Amino acid sequence: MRAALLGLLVLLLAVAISAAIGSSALPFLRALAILAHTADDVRPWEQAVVLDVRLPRVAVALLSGAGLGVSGAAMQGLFRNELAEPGVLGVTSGATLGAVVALYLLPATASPIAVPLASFAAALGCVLLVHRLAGGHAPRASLLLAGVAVSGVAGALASMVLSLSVADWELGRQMLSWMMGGLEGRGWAHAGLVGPPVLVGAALLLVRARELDALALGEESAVGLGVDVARLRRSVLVLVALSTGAAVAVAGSIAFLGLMAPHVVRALVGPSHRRVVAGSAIAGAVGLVLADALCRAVAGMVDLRPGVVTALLGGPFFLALLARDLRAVRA
Amino acid sequence: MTALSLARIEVRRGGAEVLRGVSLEVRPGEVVGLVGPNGAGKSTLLSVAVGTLPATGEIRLGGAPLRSLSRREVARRLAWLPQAEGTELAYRTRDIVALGRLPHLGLFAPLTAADEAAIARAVEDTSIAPLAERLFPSLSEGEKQRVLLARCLAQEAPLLLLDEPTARLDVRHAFALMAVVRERSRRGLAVLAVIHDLGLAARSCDRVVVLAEGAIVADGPPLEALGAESLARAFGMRARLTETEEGIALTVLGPSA
Repeated sequence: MRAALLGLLVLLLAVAISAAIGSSALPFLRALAILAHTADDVRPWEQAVVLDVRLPRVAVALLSGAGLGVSGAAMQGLFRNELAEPGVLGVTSGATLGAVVALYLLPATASPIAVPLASFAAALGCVLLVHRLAGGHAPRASLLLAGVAVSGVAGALASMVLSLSVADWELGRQMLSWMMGGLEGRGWAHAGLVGPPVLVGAALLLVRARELDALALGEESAVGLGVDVARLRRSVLVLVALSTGAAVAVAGSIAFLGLMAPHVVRALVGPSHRRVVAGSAIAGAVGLVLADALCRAVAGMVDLRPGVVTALLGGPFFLALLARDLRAVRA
Repeated sequence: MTALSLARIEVRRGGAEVLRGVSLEVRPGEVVGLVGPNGAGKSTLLSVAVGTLPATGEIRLGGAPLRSLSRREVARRLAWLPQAEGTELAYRTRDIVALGRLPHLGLFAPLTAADEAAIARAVEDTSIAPLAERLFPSLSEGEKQRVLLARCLAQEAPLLLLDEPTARLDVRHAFALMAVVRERSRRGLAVLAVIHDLGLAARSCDRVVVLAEGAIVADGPPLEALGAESLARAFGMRARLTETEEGIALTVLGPSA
């Protein structure tokens, strides 16, 4: 309980910091005061910058980060592999491909609904494929290899669609932005789009958390404890695709966030999946909100994207975990 | 009422008959040892009883047909300790034992007093109280197996299935583990255990079932079931069985002529 409150406090802090940072000539403390409704004689543009530009963007970062965090936690539990996460296993690439194809094929007016649906469907396809290839008793490495293959194919297809649409400059730009991951110009409509699937996904994954604890002991042990493993697997995969698909549809591909969040949480509050799933929602949200804040803080100097920040942090993190794994195998 | 009743069980795998008409009953309060050479179908038989492997024949748990029960209902009727499972995640020993209550819990319901009492009994019976706050991956093999057994006991199902529970244990821990199981069976638990070590089976089971090439060769008290004829048929081995003050001792002599 204390840990949960502390986590929410950190999240609140991250939101405040992020909402107070930006390119407009608005002092940090004044932006905070506007957020807290304690500022005097606020001018309309100031209010608009904080409440209509920055806050929705922060909300989108928060919800997308939470979606990727719970997805990573659930995948690590389901595959019994601490290296699993939506990016590594190709779910993010799949969701990106879905979004890009929807943008290419459908008129712009259809995209607000079609893009998230397409990225959910493609994410589901990829996660089912990876699971089919290496989900059961296959060695840990096979899972990662299956992820690499699926990710590679989905990425190549997305590039192909992109090159087909380069002629239409605006469309190409939009797609590229998706593939790089970013939160520019995200508004309340985007938050409304990513919110429901992520919240539903996280809530239902929380319901499954105890069964994931049983599964941690092994598949047969879980069966012995009354878990319908096939059903658990189906529902977790669908919920992961839902959360990841929604996050990617509004924020683009954000790498390794889903990998790091559960590890940080487990180190703080232990491996119980109820805590890890809930904690990873918070950790993922904090991570993406801060990564986005960092990008805006340095916007004058370099054009940094949150997906790049998480990849730069997460890549070495992933390699360190892999090295630890290999040492354990050799020992 | 039998805790487990298997009738005319047949399993085919890739054209080969793994189990050929096996019938077996386990009653409350008895420890039944399932022995046999590698590939005899011992683990397969346990998987059939749990319901993870399709088979023809009739399977009843506490009188009810297995196929009429949900996974959760099955878990309230039998606890299963599979082979070589465990976790590398830093769960506390106590949390592992508490998982045994899963089949009795609602979705978000916390542990009730009855759950806590069942956990306490399991911890007490397996003498793992000193390990309660330790992290599972830091335990020795013997300790881990005791904790996993406690997880099964906390389930408080009337039937316990064990798949080579002593395979990775030294002789002292193996005897201690079976002693815990025997103590519970004295209070009514029905136990079916696959055991590799014939000496341990002879010592710690009320009844021994010898399985060879998918069929039952012998079924009876250890002295009868592990007699010269069935050992020769199942293993091609000779052994001497002697009754001592501490129980039945089995000495393997050598290959049968």
